Amino acid sequence: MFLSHHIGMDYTTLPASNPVATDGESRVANLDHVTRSFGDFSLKRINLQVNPGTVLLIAGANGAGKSTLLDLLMGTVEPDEGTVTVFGRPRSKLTQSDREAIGCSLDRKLLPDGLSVRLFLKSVALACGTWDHEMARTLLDHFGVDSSKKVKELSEGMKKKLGITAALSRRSRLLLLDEPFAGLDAESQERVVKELDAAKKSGTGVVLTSHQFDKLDGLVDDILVLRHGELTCSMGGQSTRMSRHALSELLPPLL
Amino acid sequence: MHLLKLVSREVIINYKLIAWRLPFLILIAIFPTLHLASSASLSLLVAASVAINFLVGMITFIQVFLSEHKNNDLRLLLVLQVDKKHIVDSKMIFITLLSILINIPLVLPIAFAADSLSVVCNAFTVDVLISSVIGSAMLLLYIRTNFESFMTLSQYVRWAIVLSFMLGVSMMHPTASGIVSALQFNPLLAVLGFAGLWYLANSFTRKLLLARKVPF
Repeated sequence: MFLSHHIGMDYTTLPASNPVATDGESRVANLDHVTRSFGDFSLKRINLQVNPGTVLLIAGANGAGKSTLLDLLMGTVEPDEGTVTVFGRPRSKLTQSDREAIGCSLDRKLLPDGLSVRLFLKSVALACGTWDHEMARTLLDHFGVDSSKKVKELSEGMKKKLGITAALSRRSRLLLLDEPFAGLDAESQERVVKELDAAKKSGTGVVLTSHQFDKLDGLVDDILVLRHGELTCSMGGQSTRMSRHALSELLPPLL
Repeated sequence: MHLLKLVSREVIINYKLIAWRLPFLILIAIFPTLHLASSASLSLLVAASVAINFLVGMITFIQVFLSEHKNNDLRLLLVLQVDKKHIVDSKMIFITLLSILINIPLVLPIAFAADSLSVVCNAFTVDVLISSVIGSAMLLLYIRTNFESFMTLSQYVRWAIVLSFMLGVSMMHPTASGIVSALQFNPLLAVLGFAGLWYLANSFTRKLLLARKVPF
């Protein structure tokens, strides 16, 4: 296992490279020496690879650059330097079907307050050709989100569940999730893990950020650790999943 | 097909505006023109229709963009991985449809007063052009204000020129020759002329708005 090879090493001195070597064409996403600056903050020369059927955890303290990294993959932020490729194409050259194969978590700021849950999901489904109505219905039922309610009438936790439902129901090939477990109850967290595991088994590449490592037991394949915009550690291996012990023991000192 | 879905999405997210506020606004607007229709001349009626259209168009589109702002819809569409050109196209088509919807009742008093269909079509075309220009200009202003790098300043200026041209066509309409005269005497040409203008503006928009850099 890649991780075990590095136990006892100083992770901060590791080169910023992904341990999994895969043919570039078959990768779901790839960041090559990407740099992006906002005011005082700068994400520096990041290399990242996401392979089909794997889960990549981006870990780091608040302000380390995790969300910016997801924004770069989403295409809502352009790199100052370096290249971002998704499904083997530069981010700016994606076709409509490529775009539809990318699922992103929707935070509460993007949920329209005035619409009912049903209409909101309908509006999202119309913007996406791969929408799975059955899955959306099942997840809403499981999460206990009342689809007749207006979005503004939902609690913060329910809004989070709605955002997760919208992301998972796209049946995407690349799934980008920012803190998917934050604000969810234990039962819902388990359901999200189960859905992520199912997505992974179907060949979806998943990139997520999280501080709740205990929820990721057996799910995560690769980990990137960021500190002040720099990649301080990368570890993992496509064939082996990270155990809860490895995550909770090894990650906190690195953050 | 995808564009059509996005337009129906626009209708869904703005359904309240269309279902309740818009008819209410139109009722307020149509009342003075109906009143005029009983006593005033046709040219005064057309002038009143255009003036009231300005007011109703402004109020309606302000409401659309307030809702846009509140729902952060442009950003949502980008996060949903919708192509920028499709985002702008679908919103422009929605604005045009809304303009047509606003203006159907607004030209009704003219339809009662006029004895020729071409006069009615004429007034309708002018009103739709004005509404589209108001709505499109507000959309561009909204994008410019809230999503700075969606368009560059030069693109914004060039788009403003296109809209000014459309507005100019509307304004000089009663006296101009050439295309405008053709529009005046042939309802079919009026519709085709409008569709052509819209298409030109739209393809111009596509070229201009395909900014290489995404905002934020």
